[in-house]
Amino acid sequence: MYKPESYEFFCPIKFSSGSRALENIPFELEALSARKPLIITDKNVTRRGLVRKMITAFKDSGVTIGIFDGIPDVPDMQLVTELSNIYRNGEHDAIIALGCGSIVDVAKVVNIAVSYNVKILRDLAGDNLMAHPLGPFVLVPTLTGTGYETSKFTFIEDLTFSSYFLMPDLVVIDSRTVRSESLQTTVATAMVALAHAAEAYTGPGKNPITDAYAYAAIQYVKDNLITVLTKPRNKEGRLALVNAAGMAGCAFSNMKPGLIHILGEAISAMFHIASGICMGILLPYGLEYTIQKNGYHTYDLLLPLSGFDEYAGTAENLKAEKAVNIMYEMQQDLYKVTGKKIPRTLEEANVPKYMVNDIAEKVFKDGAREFGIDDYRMVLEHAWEGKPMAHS
Amino acid sequence: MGKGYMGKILMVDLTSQEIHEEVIPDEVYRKYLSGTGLAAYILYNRIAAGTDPLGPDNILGFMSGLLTGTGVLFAGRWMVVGKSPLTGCWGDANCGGNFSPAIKRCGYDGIFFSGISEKPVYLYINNGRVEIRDASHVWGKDAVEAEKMLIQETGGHSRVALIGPSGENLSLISGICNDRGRMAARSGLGAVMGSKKLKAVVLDGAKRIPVHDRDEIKKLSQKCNKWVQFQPPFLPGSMMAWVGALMRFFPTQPALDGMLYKTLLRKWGTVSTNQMSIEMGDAPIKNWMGSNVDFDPGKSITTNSDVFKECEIVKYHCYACPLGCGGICSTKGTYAETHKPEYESVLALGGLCMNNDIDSIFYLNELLNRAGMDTISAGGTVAFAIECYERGILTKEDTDGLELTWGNSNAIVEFIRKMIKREGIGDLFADGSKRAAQKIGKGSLRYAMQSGGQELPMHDGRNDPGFALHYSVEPTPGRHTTGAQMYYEMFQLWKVIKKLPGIWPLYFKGSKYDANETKAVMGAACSKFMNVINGAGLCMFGTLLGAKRIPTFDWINATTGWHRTPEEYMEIGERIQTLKQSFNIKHGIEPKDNRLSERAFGKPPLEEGANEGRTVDIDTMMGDYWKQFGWDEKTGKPTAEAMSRLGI
Ligand code: SF4
Repeated sequence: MYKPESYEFFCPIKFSSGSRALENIPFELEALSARKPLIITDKNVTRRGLVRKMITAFKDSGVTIGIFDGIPDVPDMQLVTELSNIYRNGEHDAIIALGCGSIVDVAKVVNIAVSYNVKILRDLAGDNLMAHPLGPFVLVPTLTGTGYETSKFTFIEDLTFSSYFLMPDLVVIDSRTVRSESLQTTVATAMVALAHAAEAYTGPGKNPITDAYAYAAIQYVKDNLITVLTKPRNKEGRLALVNAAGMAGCAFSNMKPGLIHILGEAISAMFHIASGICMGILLPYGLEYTIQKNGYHTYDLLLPLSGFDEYAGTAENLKAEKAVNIMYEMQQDLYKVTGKKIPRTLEEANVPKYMVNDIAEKVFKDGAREFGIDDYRMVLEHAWEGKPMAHS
Repeated sequence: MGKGYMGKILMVDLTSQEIHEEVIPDEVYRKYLSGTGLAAYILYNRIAAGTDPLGPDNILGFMSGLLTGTGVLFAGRWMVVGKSPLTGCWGDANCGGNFSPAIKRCGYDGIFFSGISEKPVYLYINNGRVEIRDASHVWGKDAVEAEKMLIQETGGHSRVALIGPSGENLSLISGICNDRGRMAARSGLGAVMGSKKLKAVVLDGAKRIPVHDRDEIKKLSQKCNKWVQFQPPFLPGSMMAWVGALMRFFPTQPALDGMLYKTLLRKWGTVSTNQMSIEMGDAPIKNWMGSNVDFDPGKSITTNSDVFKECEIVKYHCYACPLGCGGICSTKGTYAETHKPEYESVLALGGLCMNNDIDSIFYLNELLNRAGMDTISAGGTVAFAIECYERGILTKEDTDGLELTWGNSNAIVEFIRKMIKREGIGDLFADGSKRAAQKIGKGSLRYAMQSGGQELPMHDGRNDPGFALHYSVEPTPGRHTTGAQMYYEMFQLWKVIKKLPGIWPLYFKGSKYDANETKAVMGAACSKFMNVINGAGLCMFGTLLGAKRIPTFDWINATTGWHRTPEEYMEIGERIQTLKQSFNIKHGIEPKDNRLSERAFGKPPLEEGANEGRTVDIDTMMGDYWKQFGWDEKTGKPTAEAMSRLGI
């Protein structure tokens, strides 16, 4: 067991997961002194009947709810202003984000706007610029995560907000709202969780509590992703994946972004590919880079990936390589079970070879100086060709 | 009462840092208009014979148009002029955007630079105050980034024309940019700016532009605008290849009416004709040795006009343009946005190199715009390099390991990056295909498709011999915006100038290839007319509406208060053309040496495709054309008689 000399960990989130978890929300809201929440979601979620499920959960609670289901894929500040007005005029006292991605981004920013003042929103963008906690915030995630939902981050237009106050007070994972999604969305949600968890588990910020969150997240993804893809009716598997996404987000809030995250986000933004798909491609290469560069704790990864027996039975010097190989195998499996819909390499993801250098330069220029430009380039080149580093 | 022009030019000597204004007599405007006409008058008289284009004695001018800022539509073009380092000839390039009115609002019709600064500088004019400022902090920055910085540091309202790293590196195929990467690309004048260590011209003025009769201008503009706004529904983009195939198939063709092209431009921009041009034989393929058979609709589908429409975020209009053929497109990769690539760029970086990877074309479009390198010349140069590689003239060792094969978009991008940086093999090609061929030797010059050293644009003279003619005879060789049979049809000048030959509504395609006097008259009329247009600062696309719908001559009369006939304006055009040709003769150019490369006029003819078996009788056409101006029909040199007739 790794014992760091010192560490910090913060996570204010209460998780509530299960087949009837939604029904706990009114009670939990009361504990948060809220009686009139505003539910923020999008049309897609409404169309799929999830809002109806929420309404039913509140039926006999005596709690009045407001619903806004007009969140677009690319929201803007104008929308935040409108929603803040709706919140204030409707005298709401809590926010429930039903869904993932831009829904949660907007919900978090609206929470800042109504807790502070929408006019000073831009001044609060940045790292830890919020001085006091925000209003009650509940997250009801779907299987469409981007990795940031339970984290301390949120984004709108060109602004990034980062504060522990942005983490939800409550995350409610209910099998009725965790519906089956497209192959790509499911894989993207799971792989961003796996990447964040793996980087937390092996990276320099590793500590016993991130380990606990990351360990479970890794194991949940490893054990459930292929099953969910091959058997879409598998409710438990879907629930496990959303739990993994939630836990990985908490771990991610307590670490410095790793190389896989940095490159994955950059490629996602540049080529409009889901960040989870990008991170899934980069995962084994990023881990190999870590082994080559400084070792850290990549060998440890074998434990959540393969279980205690195999971990114990593998020689110390082979553990890291074996863990990475499991990631490669997972890529192959995903490629196979999805009928080649999930790319294994950047080439398969249609990232042009001539862009590899530009991605590395852009990442470096944009301020990600944790790694050298040559390191970024090396990982990208290998991930483009699909050539493991160990064999180069 | 005003006359549309400001009556003044600014002269800046970058060596001595001396700046002075000069008043231009009315008589000069009456003889040469403004724009490139006025520039021809200044440069002809002031650039000494034998001047090194990249030396201190070359003069670089930024010109606005006579009609710019007067309320006339389409009058937002600015022109850059100088002795071209690429061709050694008269050099000019033309650009839209928003820089042209800024020149006049600073009180000038043109700003001219001579000398060479010791360190990088930019010229800043702010409400009458003219300064030469240090530009070290933006030297090396790309044209988009540097423009943003310069606008910011000068208060946020300036208009900027500037070079990118290509011009700084003295690449002879570099241009001058404005408004986030629109470029006056041709003639290599970016290198002249770079040689002067002049990074940018930054203008912030508010002077009124006086005109003779504003009401009349308004009336004329409103009438013209009705034609622009008339937009009948048109076929979907996916059908354009078939339209081109039909045009190829029929032995006859209708005389083109610019209203149709206007409809396409307004809907899609110049990319509207990508696939159609390939199919009908207008677009050269595979360094001019291929055809629509090599780049069939299955391959060219990625360049279909709808592809561009889908990623267009917002339409783009140059200053005073009601049409708006431009657009800002979202792109994947390093740059989030780019100006919608033009037809020329798509075909030069696409079909000419057998490249149908559209993402690479978008990327290269932005990369080259930012670098300030001409997309036509860059594409033409790469196509030449690929042919050399495929023929074994260049090896993988020569190309720094790049597999420079047809359609290899990765290699094409890397190669162009090297050209921009002048790195490795890129250094050899950064000055265009002719210079590279001269260094490579091994008979490679015959594969460089150029006129006078300038890479040929994407209109095939074997389809429209007018292009072959104008590439060869214009004082700025290798330009496609001066004349062609299809332009003559769309200009419809015969409707206002009775002695010009008309065009039958339907004619046999074969008749296009008869080299006769009528063709020469048409060619000369195009050149003369375009000199008027470039003196006025109008956009050529506007003039394609047809002379009855776009009142060019009436606009000039209303603006200046002159009462001149179209014929008189055509004579001004002839004078400007003759002066530019005289400029070339003064600088030792033999006009016949500017004849386009043999393959490009069908020697040998293509064995398949839309232009199969066609050879243009270019020598006869050139002689006939020169005769129209009263120049020597064998040498293309203006005669003393022609000069004195025109009062030069
Ligand atoms: S037609 Fe196009 S190029 Fe011409 S002025 Fe208008 S927008 Fe500019």
